[in-house]
Amino acid sequence: MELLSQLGTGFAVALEPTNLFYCFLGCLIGTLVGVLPGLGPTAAMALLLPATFHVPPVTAIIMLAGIYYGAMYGGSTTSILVNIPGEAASVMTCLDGYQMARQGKAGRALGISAFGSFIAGTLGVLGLTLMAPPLATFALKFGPPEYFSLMTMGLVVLSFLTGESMIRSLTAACFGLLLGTVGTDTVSGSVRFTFGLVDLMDGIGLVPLVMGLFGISEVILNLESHIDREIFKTKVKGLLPTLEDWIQAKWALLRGTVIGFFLGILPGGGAVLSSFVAYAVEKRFSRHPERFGTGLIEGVASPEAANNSAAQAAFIPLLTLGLPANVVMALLLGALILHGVTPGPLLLTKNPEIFWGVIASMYVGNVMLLVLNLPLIGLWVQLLKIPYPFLMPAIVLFCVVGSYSVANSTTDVYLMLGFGVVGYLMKKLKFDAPPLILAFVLGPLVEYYFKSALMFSRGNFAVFVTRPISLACLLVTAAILLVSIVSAFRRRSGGLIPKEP
Amino acid sequence: MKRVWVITYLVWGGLALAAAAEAGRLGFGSFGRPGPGFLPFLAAAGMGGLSLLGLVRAAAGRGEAGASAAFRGADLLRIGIVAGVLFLYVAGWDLFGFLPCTFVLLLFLFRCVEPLRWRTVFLGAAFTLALTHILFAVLLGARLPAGRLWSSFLN
Repeated sequence: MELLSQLGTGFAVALEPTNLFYCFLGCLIGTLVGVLPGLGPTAAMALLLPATFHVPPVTAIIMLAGIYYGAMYGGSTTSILVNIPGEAASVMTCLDGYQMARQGKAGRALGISAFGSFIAGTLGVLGLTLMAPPLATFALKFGPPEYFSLMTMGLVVLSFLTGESMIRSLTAACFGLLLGTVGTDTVSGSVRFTFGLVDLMDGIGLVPLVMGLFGISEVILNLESHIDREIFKTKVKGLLPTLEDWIQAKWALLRGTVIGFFLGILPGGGAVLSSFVAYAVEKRFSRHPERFGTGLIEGVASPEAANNSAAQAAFIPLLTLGLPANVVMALLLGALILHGVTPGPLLLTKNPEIFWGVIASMYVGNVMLLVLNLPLIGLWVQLLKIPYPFLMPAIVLFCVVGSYSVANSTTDVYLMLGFGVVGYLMKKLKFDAPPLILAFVLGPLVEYYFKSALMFSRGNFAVFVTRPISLACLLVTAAILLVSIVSAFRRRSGGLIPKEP
Repeated sequence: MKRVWVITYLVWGGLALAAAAEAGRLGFGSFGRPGPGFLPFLAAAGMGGLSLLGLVRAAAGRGEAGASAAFRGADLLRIGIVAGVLFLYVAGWDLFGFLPCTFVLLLFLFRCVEPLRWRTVFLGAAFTLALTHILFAVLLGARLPAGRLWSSFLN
């Protein structure tokens, strides 16, 4: 009963005209960046973060969250119509979605994708509504050692899951930690790694870093080659799935939703991993696995349900523990901090309007996305025809003005351009940016909890292994590191130097 | 390819060494009272260790084949020019202001990076500039640099 009353409060916040407008705007922009290949939700959120400084925190988070789950909806459109995933989580949708489009079933593929996304998204928010409050209450028992161990686990798990190479991912994470220490140390007041620049006293800004690593680096990378887009020329008709489609896809939808939800909660899991796993599981469960990849509706329903469910579930660790499960959540964490809100277990009691307002807005957003995706499909197809040469200067300009307008500082713009070059080199050499961003955002928190735990225990490191939750997290971390080392040795048995994990 | 990886890990290692040295200067403190250099040192040590491991592997010519480390000279030149122009563009804000510098930058991006017709270039540049100005300066109230040159003329 109390849950319903709190959810009611959330709906009162989410249905305020301003919040409703920003939710719509977020969903619209999210769908747009999902549709357009090359500009993902992370870059779009970074671009728009400065624009949210003029609105209250709850409005800002509602809009930014809308961009994230909106992109999950929109990403399927390009996957189905032109075989190019609008964002990484829609890669698996290409396999069967595009084949369906080639067989003249594009409308049915788009329809099941939109309805499946809506059902999975709504079930995901329902799970979030039910799981978040008890988890937040449980998290009140956490002290500095638990938080430190949990964050360390999050960083290692993300590095393990996102990259091809553990060495490269962890190197990027260490670099992110170092970047997070730039500026004034809040405990001692010492100034670190500023090279005498006054503008760096407050540290490196999240906006220049993310815009550089994701926005500018993508532009630089695209300077190397021209993107040739195949335009879908035939008309899209019959967007409503048939009864037969529903019968065929119902278990795939449900399985995808459950897989996406639980993988979405895990650090490093998120939408991308869950769509891959859901597709693999569906193929395994299928009576005719050999037909996957030839245009099966289950092959569209399952990954789409999984990525949308995961997108909602990823909010659970952020809202209850203050821990981002992936890079987009890290950006949202940064946005909350920039707005003066501390995410974590106390968010539920101190800022219930934000906690419940954001959750309620997701119910509203899912309905909006269904409405946006089906009737406007023709418009999204037209958008695919915008040539990249017109998009590229606009992206550059948005990045430049966006990072300047945060603090009216040209240093931030220089930093962003510098990070753009670094991001390009990292992409070329396959060093992953997500662990870097997560470590950068978590760095100050990791340092604070690490120091607090050590001061609390008077320098005794046993504090990290004598508390059960902290010990469990450290054991998981150690197990992941061990698994990656063992698998590296297996791949190159007999060698003195291990193959890169 | 091997040379690229050796250089890459040497750069990471050098960065780690520099950061560790600076962390040492800041002071590690004690375990019971960690100083400002404590965490940076740990991060630098981690980065240094990983770089060393990567360097040894790269020197032995193992395991890096999967990464697309191919840098083509023509691409690097093109990227270097665009990056240089972007840095110059921001440097020009102080004297010439945001609007003229941005217009020139857009002309460059539309014409030189992606060769379009001059009419399209001018129209595209004007439209993009107007859109950015309306969105950021008018609607969001961002204070974009006016430029000392024009300010002194007006005064």
